[in-house]
Amino acid sequence: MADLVTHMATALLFKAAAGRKHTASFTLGTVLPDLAGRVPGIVLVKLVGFGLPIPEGLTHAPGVLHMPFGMLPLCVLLALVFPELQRPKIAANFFGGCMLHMAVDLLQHHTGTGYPLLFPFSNWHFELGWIGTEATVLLAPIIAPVSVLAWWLRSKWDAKGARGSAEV
Amino acid sequence: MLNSLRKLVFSDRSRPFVAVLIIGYLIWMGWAYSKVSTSRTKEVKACTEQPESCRSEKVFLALTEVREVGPATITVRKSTVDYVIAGVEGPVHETEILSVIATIPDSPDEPFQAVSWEHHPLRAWKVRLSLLGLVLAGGVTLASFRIENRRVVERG
Repeated sequence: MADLVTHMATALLFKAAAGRKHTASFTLGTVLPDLAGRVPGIVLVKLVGFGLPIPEGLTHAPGVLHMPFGMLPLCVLLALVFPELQRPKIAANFFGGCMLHMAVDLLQHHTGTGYPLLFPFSNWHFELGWIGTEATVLLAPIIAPVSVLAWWLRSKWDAKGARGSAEV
Repeated sequence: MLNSLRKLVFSDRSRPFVAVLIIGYLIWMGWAYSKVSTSRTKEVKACTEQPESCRSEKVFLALTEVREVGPATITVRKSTVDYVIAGVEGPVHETEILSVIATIPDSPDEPFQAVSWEHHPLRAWKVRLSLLGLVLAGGVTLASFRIENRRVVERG
């Protein structure tokens, strides 16, 4: 996993380029895989460190929410709390964010391991391994303000466009 | 067909059924993955007990926490399992994060032998940035969504 600030920044950059609708859902989608798939496992391992008898398998189980075939149903499940007509678009934006998260994570190198992209259908692991696991730490202070600026410029552009069409 | 599937999944009528189905599927998937991920730990344990069956086989221990630093060995924890490893050169300190590729020892009493290793000096900064990201995500959620008629709706 890359750091969450970088993940959120990539979401803003994507939405600045592709259109701002559902930015919040898309941005939360980029956080969701780590929030649902990594944080519970980290907490459980910490609890083991405190002497709690938690089986090893349980610490791995939440990891399925960091895999495409776990993310997709999770996004649909979360979208179910929204009004009926909004659900397909919200789920699509959550899942789009998750896929962007996965794309950023796949750039990393994890000492011979990788991500099980096709689980439960296959145990095949893959990663591109182009950058180290902490490379985004140095990138975050640059990409975060740039993404906010890009998204703000896009919102100004959209507002100007809307005013222009209203005047016509 | 896609349209009717979308209606089936996202309609109010099928909502409880879809929710139960998804939760059930995710529990099954988590159970299946825990089986797969712990099987490798069991394999390694079996190898250390009967080393002749997998001599010189390697284990990949990505992002482990250093628990103990001894004179000739270090103990790292991957998930809930501890591995004693020899051959990691250079300064290593407790609680640091280390990725190691090591060969399985020839007897259960011997340590794993490190083949290659990687330090992660920026790991603490990554954790801090991710905590900041969690706070920001909480802020985005509060600022961007509200509850209306027992449903979450996007603001704006």
